[in-house]
Amino acid sequence: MPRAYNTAVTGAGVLLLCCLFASHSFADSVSVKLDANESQPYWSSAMPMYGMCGEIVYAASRAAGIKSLITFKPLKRLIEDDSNNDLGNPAFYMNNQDFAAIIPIAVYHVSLFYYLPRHSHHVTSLSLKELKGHKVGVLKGSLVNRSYFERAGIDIEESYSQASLFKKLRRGRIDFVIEIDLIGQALINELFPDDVDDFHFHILPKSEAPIAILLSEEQVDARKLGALYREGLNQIRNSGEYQRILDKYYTVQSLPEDYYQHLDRFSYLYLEADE
Amino acid sequence: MGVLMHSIKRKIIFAVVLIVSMAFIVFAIYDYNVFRSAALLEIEEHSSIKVDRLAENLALPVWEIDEHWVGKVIESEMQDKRTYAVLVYSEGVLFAGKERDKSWQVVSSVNHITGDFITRSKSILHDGEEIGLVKLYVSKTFMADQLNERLLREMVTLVLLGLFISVILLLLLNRIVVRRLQHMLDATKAIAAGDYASQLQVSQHDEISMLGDGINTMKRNIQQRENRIRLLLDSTAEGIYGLDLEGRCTFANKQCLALLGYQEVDELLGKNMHALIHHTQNNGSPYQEEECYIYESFKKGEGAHIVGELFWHKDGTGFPSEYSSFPVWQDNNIIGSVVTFTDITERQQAEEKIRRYSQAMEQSGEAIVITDVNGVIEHINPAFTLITGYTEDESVGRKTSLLRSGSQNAGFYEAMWDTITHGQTWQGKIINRKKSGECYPAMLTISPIKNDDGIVTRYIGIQQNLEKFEELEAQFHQSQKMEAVGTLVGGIAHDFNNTLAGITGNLYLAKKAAKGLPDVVKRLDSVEKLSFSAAATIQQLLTFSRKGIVQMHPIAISSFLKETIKLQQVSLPENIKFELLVNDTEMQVKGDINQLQQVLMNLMNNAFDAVEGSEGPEIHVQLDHFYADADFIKLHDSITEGEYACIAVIDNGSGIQAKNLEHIFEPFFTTKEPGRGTGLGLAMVYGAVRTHAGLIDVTSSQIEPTGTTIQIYLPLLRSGEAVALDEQHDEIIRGQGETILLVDDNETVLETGRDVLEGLGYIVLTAEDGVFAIEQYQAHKDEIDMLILDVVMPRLGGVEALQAIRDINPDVKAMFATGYDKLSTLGARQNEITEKVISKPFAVSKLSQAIREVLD
Repeated sequence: MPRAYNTAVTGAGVLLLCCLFASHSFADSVSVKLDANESQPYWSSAMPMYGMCGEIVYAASRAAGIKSLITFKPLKRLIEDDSNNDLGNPAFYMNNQDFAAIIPIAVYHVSLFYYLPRHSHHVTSLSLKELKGHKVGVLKGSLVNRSYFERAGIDIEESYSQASLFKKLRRGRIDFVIEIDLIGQALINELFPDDVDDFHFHILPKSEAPIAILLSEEQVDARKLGALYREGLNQIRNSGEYQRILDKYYTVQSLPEDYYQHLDRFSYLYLEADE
Repeated sequence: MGVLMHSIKRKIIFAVVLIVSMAFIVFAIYDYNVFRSAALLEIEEHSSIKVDRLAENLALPVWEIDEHWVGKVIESEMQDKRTYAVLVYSEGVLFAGKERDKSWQVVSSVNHITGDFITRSKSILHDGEEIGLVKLYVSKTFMADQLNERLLREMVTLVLLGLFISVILLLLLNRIVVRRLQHMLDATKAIAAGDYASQLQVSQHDEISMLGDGINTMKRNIQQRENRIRLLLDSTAEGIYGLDLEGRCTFANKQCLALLGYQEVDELLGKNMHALIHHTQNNGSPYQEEECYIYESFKKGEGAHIVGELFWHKDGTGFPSEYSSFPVWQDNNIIGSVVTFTDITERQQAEEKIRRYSQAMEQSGEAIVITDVNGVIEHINPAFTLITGYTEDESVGRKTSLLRSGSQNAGFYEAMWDTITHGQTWQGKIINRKKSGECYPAMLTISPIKNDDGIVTRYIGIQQNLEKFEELEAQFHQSQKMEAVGTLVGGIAHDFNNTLAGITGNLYLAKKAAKGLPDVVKRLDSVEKLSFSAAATIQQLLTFSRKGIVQMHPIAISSFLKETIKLQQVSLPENIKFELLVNDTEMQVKGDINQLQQVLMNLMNNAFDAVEGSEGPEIHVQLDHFYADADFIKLHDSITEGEYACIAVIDNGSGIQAKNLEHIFEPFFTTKEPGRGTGLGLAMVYGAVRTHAGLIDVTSSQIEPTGTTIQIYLPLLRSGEAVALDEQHDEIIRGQGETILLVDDNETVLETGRDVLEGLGYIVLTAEDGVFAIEQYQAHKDEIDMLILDVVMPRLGGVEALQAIRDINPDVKAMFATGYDKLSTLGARQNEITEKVISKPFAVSKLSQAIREVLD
């Protein structure tokens, strides 16, 4: 994968999707309020246990003896509110708010989706050259540096909804869609259940990003709670419960091989940051 | 509607309102169409704009293939209720769409829209490339609603404006035209109603003013003409009034008001004249209008002339009228009638008077003849024909001298003519001759008839036939004569009876005293027989004079007749054929048996004497039922109308000479040879029949077949127990020593009576009149057992004396002895008397029997 592309994806933060937050408690009597943004299948009030990350938070909380309460809010309010506990990508919130503890609970990747009937052949490489002259769709507001792509000869088209991206992709109005892997897969399953096999994707290199519980500075005993959440997370990883949760959601695509490495790496990074 | 449009004001109002309304309606229609076109254009433009906007707004959502977004855009567009449907197509198929259901709610479209809509389509472009199509359907309904709403508002405004303009126009028209026309209309109405006082004010010079001038001129002419007509109408002697077709009074002249008793013509105008003056018929029954000749005449279009029907005054009194009703024609149509009438009360009275005179003349029982001044007959009445036998044809045109009998000399007639030609009435008895030649007496009155100038133009002669009068006069004289004779005979008989009573009493006493001297007794017996014979004669005289004693009882006349005839028949010679014919056996009369028996015996004796010596002598006695009707009563005024028993004794003897007929009932008149008749038989019959309120009628003929019929009519009695003939006996019954008070004003009777009564074994007290009798009774009331009183006495009569004594002793026993019969002496009081009455002279045996009858 070219460096420019990786930089664009990871450095510029191509997708500012729904973030994951986490909280911890140190006692059973402590309850932690956590705010999340609707981002199926990671966070969704319509899904059992509030989606994949919801299940992880509740499982870790249960293991840690913390009573966690997840509420869903619009993304803008989550960002602007600098006193709450958030769930999501820490990079998205840390510009506006300082957190006492950040506990990564999952890792996501960004993929490049395409609809094979609109292409003459499978896409084998993810270089900018490969994408030159194509129209690439992204969720409106998620593109930070549009000129970068334009200079590379890539026509970026923003859409107002993720569903529109995939509809246009199928209709041929755009050639590719850049979207978080599980989100894209879930939409394709929902919108085009008969055409699932015609949709293909490639995980963009270095596109991994953490989903974490972000405990606010104003959260009482935030660090103790952070430790409890981490302990809980370890317990469910060790018990295999964590893996069973992941298996429920990674059905089309197999869990990336470096998933746990990245999770550990992010845990280490944010643990040091907390300390 | 026709009535409403009779007013010019209403016509103008109608025209103004119509014109203004039409103008506004036309304006409203024009405005509506203009506005509709504009609205349609606007909505079409609006639709175009909307579809353009929609195409733009949908470019991104369609490009994004975002149904939700597209749906939002469509829903936003559907907020406009005029938008019926928005359909968005992408790649040729319906991508999203909304439409409205029947309740105008937004629903998902089924892509099948029909109806009258404004439709606009627009391609949806993205970067110049068509990515879809949007179709917009806009409804005209709301445009129509708006139009209707606007039209309604406009109409309301126009109506108000129209009303305002109409009012303004009307006010102007009213001021300029209508009001002035109204004044003229009022003026013409006033003229039509007869009010000529008002004068139209003409202040301008336009057409209406000229019309007003014309009306004023017309009014003056009409007034003058009406005055002339009114003058003529009011100058007539007849009442005149007019009627319209409903029978209402349209005019009436002064004489009409005067005849009907009204003061003002307004009291009649407009009123139903039939109901007012002609409502009741002459017989008092209601007079229905449809029966009235007045209405019938003008409804039929014919005139009517009626005389005698009643018209009614205002005060409720009626008067007979003569009226004519003639229809009034106008343009071949009857518009009413004119009735002229007069009060004919005086005329009817005059006619009635003439009719009465005429009827009196025609129905008079006296002959009336009217002649000219020369005595030529011009008119006779029916009585003239009845009396003279001359009919109208036989008498009219001839002189009255046709009746001359020659019984009056020329001087008689000269004096008569001299009187009447001097204008005076002549009256006298005259003997005229009938057409049959028979003469008749008449009382003739001739009066001159003068004209208004006092000149004699005719004579009227009234002659009363005196034939009947003279006949009645003769009957009256006979009746008077018989009455006078009866009175004379009755007076003599009374005194004679008293004398005989004394004689017979003394003879009784003398015979008792000379009991041992047979020769003396024999002579006294002879004297006594002669005395009683004289008494019998006196009794017949009393019967004739109707002063004999009568005892009236109901008698079965047929039985009585048979019994009496049986006794009498024995003494008839066998050569005389006798026949009794009874045609009614149920009749009863009230009578005295003795008198009636004597009547029949006398009649039978007369009949026997009449047939004696004649060949084939026959005597018939016949009893019939007879009804005396008015005609019979006219001939025999001594009886009243009713039922009678008629006993007829008929013989075929020689008959009675006419000259003797008027004397046969006189006492002592007889045509028999001396010693055979007393001349009292028929006199007694006459008196007895009159006593029984009956009638005796004699018809006799000495011309073959000769004979005499005497009919006796006795009034029938309706009920009562008949008495039979009783037997008499001569037994003397002696007294038991009772005391009798004998009262009589005749001294001889008193003394003789006392002797006789004492001889019969009674103690006798005497009194000379009633006053003494009362005194005697008061003195000896405990001793006196019985009173015998004469009826007629000086100072106080027997009846009054007995009444006074009865006040002393109500149970006192008494009897009356009288020389007259009970009827004549007791008069009207006879019904009050219950005591026994005995007639003087009485046989001692009868006296003794009567006394015992009273005492026992």
